[in-house]
Amino acid sequence: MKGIRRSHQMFIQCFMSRGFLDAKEVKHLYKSCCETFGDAYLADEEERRKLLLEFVLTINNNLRQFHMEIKKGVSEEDGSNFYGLVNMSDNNITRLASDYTTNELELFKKIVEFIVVESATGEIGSIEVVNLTEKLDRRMSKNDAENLINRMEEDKWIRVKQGRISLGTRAILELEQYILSVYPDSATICNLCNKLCLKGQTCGSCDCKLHFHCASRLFRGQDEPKCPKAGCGEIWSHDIPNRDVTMRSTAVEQEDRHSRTRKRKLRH
Amino acid sequence: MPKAKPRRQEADDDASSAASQTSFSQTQSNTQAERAMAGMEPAEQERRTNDLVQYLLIMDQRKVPIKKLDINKQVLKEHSKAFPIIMRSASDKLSKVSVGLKVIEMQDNKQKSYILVNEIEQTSESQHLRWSDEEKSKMGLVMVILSLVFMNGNTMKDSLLWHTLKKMGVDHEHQHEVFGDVKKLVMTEFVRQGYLECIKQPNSDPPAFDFKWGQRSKQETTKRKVLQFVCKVYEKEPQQWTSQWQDLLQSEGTPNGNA
Repeated sequence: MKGIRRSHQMFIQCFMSRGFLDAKEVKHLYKSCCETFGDAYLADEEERRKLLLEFVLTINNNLRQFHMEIKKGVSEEDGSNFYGLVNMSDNNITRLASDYTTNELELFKKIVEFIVVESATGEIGSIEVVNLTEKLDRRMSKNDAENLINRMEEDKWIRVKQGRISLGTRAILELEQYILSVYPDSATICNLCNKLCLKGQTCGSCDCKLHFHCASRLFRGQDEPKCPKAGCGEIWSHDIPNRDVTMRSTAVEQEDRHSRTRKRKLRH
Repeated sequence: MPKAKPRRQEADDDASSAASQTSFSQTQSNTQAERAMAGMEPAEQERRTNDLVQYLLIMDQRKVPIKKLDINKQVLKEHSKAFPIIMRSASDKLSKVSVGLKVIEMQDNKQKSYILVNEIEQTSESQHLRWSDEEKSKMGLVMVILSLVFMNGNTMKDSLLWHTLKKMGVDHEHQHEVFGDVKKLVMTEFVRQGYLECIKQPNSDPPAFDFKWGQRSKQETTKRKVLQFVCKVYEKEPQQWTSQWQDLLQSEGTPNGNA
């Protein structure tokens, strides 16, 4: 096993402090760690990417003994990558770790349950959340529930948009295994990426579900998209979303190259 | 929740922990701890050590000293007699293997407790640690108080501290818009976190207190850095503060030296 250097430690500390970083922040942090401790920071992007991968691998090999790992998560909104320092164990020690009270965690569990089991869209309304507080053993005021929602949004556990609450990428990253093992019948797996899928499109005639960005990727350029599930093949009844971040960036590059920006605007 | 992954056995770790530089004052004799260690399987020793590392990391987030009592209760349990040895290898792992944090034993308590101190300095360029606005404000206040105490000859009466802070707009008699109850923050929170030491003067009525630098401050900053901070405020050179400068040199082990 390769040894940990100061640059690795600085990288870990940043993850401990922020919990959750997007791909751009990770690249920036890597640069900063290399520069601070005089590690080689390669000019070639492809080579540098390999080195960063190795860098994170070294960290994970060392952290695993303490039940921690830096893991990649994919946003359900646009398929972009996020990275988080994840705790891999559930024991009496890690239960002390939370910034939230037991009662707050209970409410969060109920929110997760609602989103996974009852909601078809992977969302819950903020009013429904407040109603969920009535199911708690110990009372929580409406005000406290609203504050909790704000705090969890700030910590990136949940995403709030126009009063609709969904699980943030951070929550999915940490809770995917938990959700799949506790709600095996309700939790759906995306047909394309094989990961937990809460928000996405569902086939009209079978239970096949796809993330929005996975649907973008799968049906790209198809005139008559069909359900990808083996033995179904029903016409896909949804509009094909344009939400894949990797696809969009390459598409933009290509269009820049061919200077067909105007045509793109017309299509929208 | 995700299940714990199988742990790796590392010969390296054992070697490095044996060569550990960290020393802890020990209540139990070493032989007693060695006997306790001998009663544990190597895998069990490693598991407890790794659990302790994780426990220290988690508990440190509250910045409150971690009690030996709690470590024994939560992590070591029936193997608490092995505490000195397991604590030593856990400290070693924290510093060298994982995150670059140093375990410091608190000295001013009757009860044994520990804090973690960062070995990697946060510079204004790197900014790898994110502080909330609240934390930033509090650290600003800590820095000001540490400066006041140092400039006052390493100890300061509470009445003088309150008086000086009041002149800066931090009034301990009123709710402060950022700090709330200033007196409680300074005398309880900063003291508990190890930034300040607050000593009650004997036979004082109403009680009077002396403030000194706490354990954490002594580890996380130096007299030189604090004096540099003061110099920035007053636009002076450090040497112009004669007695503080001498004190500083002495603390760095170079009395009369020309640094």
